[in-house]
Amino acid sequence: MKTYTDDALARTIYQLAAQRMQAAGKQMPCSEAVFSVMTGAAPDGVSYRQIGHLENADFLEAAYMLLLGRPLDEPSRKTWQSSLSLPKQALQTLVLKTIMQSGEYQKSRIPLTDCPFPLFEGEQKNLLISSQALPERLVRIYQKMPRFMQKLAKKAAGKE
Amino acid sequence: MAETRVYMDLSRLCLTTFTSGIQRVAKEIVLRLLREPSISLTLLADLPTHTAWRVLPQEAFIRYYTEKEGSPYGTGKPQIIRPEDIPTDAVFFDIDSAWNMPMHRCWLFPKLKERGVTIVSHLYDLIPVTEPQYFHSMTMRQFLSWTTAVLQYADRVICNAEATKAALHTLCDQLELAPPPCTVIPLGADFAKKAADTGKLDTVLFEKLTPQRYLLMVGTVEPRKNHKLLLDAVEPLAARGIKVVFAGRLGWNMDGFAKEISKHPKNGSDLFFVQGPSDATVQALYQNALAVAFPTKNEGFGLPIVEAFCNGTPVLASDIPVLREVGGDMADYFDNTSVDSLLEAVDRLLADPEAYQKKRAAIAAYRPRTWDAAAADMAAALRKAGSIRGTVPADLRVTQMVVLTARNDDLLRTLPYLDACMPFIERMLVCCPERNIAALKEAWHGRIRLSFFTDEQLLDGAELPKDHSTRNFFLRCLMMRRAPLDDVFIMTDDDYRPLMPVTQEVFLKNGRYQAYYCYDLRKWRGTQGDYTSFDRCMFRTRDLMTEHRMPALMYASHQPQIIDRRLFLEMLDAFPGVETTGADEWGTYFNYCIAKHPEMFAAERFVTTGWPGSISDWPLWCQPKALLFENFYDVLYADGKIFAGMSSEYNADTFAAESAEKQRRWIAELGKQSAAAAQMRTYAEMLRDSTGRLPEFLLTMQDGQPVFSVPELLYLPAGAVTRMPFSADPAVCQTEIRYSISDDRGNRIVQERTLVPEAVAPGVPPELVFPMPPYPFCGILSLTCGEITANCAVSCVE
Repeated sequence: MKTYTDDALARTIYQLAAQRMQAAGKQMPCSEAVFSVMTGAAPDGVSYRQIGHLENADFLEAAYMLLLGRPLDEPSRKTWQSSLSLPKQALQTLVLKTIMQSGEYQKSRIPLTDCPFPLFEGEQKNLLISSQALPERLVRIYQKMPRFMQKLAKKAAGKE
Repeated sequence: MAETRVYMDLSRLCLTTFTSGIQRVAKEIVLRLLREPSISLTLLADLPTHTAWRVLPQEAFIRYYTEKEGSPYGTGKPQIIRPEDIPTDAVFFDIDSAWNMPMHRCWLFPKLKERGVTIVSHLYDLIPVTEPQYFHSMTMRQFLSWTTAVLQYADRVICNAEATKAALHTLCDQLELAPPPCTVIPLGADFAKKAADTGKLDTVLFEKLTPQRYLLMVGTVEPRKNHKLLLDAVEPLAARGIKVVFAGRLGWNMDGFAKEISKHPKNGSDLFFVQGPSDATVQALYQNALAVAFPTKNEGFGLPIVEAFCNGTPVLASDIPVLREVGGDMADYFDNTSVDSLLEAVDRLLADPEAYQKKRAAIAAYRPRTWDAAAADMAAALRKAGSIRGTVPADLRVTQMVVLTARNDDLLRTLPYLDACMPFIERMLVCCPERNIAALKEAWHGRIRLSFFTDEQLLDGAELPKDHSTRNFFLRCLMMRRAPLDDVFIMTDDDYRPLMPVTQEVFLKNGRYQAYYCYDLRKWRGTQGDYTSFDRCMFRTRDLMTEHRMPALMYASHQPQIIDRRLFLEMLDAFPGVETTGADEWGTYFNYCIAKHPEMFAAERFVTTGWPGSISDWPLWCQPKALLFENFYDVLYADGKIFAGMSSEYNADTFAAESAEKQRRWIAELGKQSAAAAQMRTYAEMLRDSTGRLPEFLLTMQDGQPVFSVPELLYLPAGAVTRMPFSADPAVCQTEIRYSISDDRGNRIVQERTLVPEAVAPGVPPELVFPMPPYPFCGILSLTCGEITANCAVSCVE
């Protein structure tokens, strides 16, 4: 009988499933490396150390999985396709920044730690009052308000 | 009969607005387990942090799932439970679809396991592993990950069918893994009868159908269910005068199938797809069908067969083991890859009308297995899982205490406390230098009888290691081999003092040795930049445990611990030469025992004050469970210190009152640390909400120059040590970073400290450490790296 580390067992199970997928004429939806990262992730935060080593395509997939809690969707995959040839850090900065500035991320708010390069240098203040920090529904309501009500709402929120 | 404490995470059930499939099973079982007197159930639901649960109030849960009133969460302030709070003698039972839960089991189960909690997982099927092509990519990934956790950590698995157990064994064979013990408990099926008039009957549909002249397939349309086979059989069935009705929701990835039906030439005449049918329609469809067809590729149980039988309808099912197990002789079977095989089965039903009616009559007498029976079996399995522990003989009496010391004074000051508070201890073996013995004999005349084993006898010519921690382990190993020890004894130090009467039950409870831990070795940071012998010993122990895939809690709790000498020697055999590697003796012993003999050990949070010596020495990973002992430090009794004004010597008259006061003061200090930690969490959350990142410091390279990136404002709680992550570009990892904090008048509050990221111990993330004074102030944090500097405003708050 064998003994496995958690990661080794996860990877072996992945390989078994991959064989079955192949036999059914299909491919696994993510690479073994991304699956391994996902299996070892903590539920309350993502450390850059877990994903920083991944190749660009895997990094993109893992960032979506861990920071947004879902796989990369097809439209997003197509959008990112041309960026995958960027140098590693450039792509990683772009991916992390895009994800973390998205309205979707404001809902999951899974923190990223240990990132060795700045993502929001000089932008932190803006982020605090940007509409992306507000729930989308509130923003929509705000946009439909008459101008005088928008002013009142801003005043109430201490933004004016 | 003692109650088995069972904890169940029902996060998915509580989130689901409808109850079908797994959530239906979970609901039926949980409602019955709540009535089971031998089971004490705690129901849990995930919190947004996904690292803790709220406890579901049982009354609210029952009311919601029986009367559809209120909410399963109740209305009051929820009680919060973390994985570390689940008692070590409890069973953690997953019956909900745990693979969908954000609290991944690969993260949760090791935490439960390293403390000895029994894990029982309900395995509905292994189809996402064996036939992953049928599943949504997210479900498949999550399921593979969950399967990893179950195979690695579950103490017992409950399956609904022998076929699922066989699949589990096959998978384990392929992985060359020993399968976890497995109990097969078939599901119940006596669901509360839905009123026949629930919803509107689809009369238009029934006008086109003739009783017993159509095949019915009920359930969500999804690839695995193999609706395609029945669709391919529509024309030959029509030629036999048999129509086909699909009833159910359209599932994932089946839009193509819906189009295929809508374009089918027989659609509306011999083929019908009823999406979201009412209960009345489903019941009428069942009762009037020639048979229910179930061409599924694979199933975990096959409840549709049971439902068909409950409605008196014959079943044509795929010839797969799990359906044979559920359908038995009452169902007919066909090859699920062959339309001809299905047609042959239909022909057999049509060929002999008399036999067909006899079959219907036999099915009408069918009585499904009840949920009560399934829940009773489940309760028995949980009791069995919960009772694998507690194998230390109940009548074991521990009477010996053992201490290794060279300090007579300290031991003589501690002995009166032990004498008064630990009546079960009758003897103490003192391992000490020969020269100490006479003085000890002369000075001590208490109840506890002293015996001695000299250092010379212990060493027998062996050379002592120089490192303090290595020496400790080395000596204790010699002691286990050579000293006249009982098989089970209490190991202590010369300065561990009881704060109240302590019984043997503190060390041996419910047939399990109580192992007291104080930290997670994987979280131990040590004195960064200047590691002590203790720190290095902890890092070595962490690495040893990790290498052997064992739990890695820190048992250097600075309080008495119970030791089974035979198991200690077994541990030494398992790690040849470990006594000279500088690992921690208690960390190695207890983590080994929890891994190898979980039925004999329970890991509990430590029960002592004075560890750490000062509460602001380092952040506690867990708070003590109670305060039964004091790790005595003279310095804590000095003016201005926590025990100032109290006696440091035993006095029978004042002992009780002083002990109570010591506990009160220590608890107040612990409260301060908790409050400081809560403050930091709030601050970190505020920063995270605005920037998506936690407060941390970066040193990066830009245009060949190192550049700091720091938070604009740093909140630090007064009177606590706060550690902040520091990440550095590999190019500057060897550079020394110096940092200090001054107040707004220029007074240095935190003296200059240094950090060299590359010099940090392996496995420990680099951090800046801020020990803050117990008063508030505003100031500046200055960081320098060569000629590069950065400043950050500091607000030290109470």
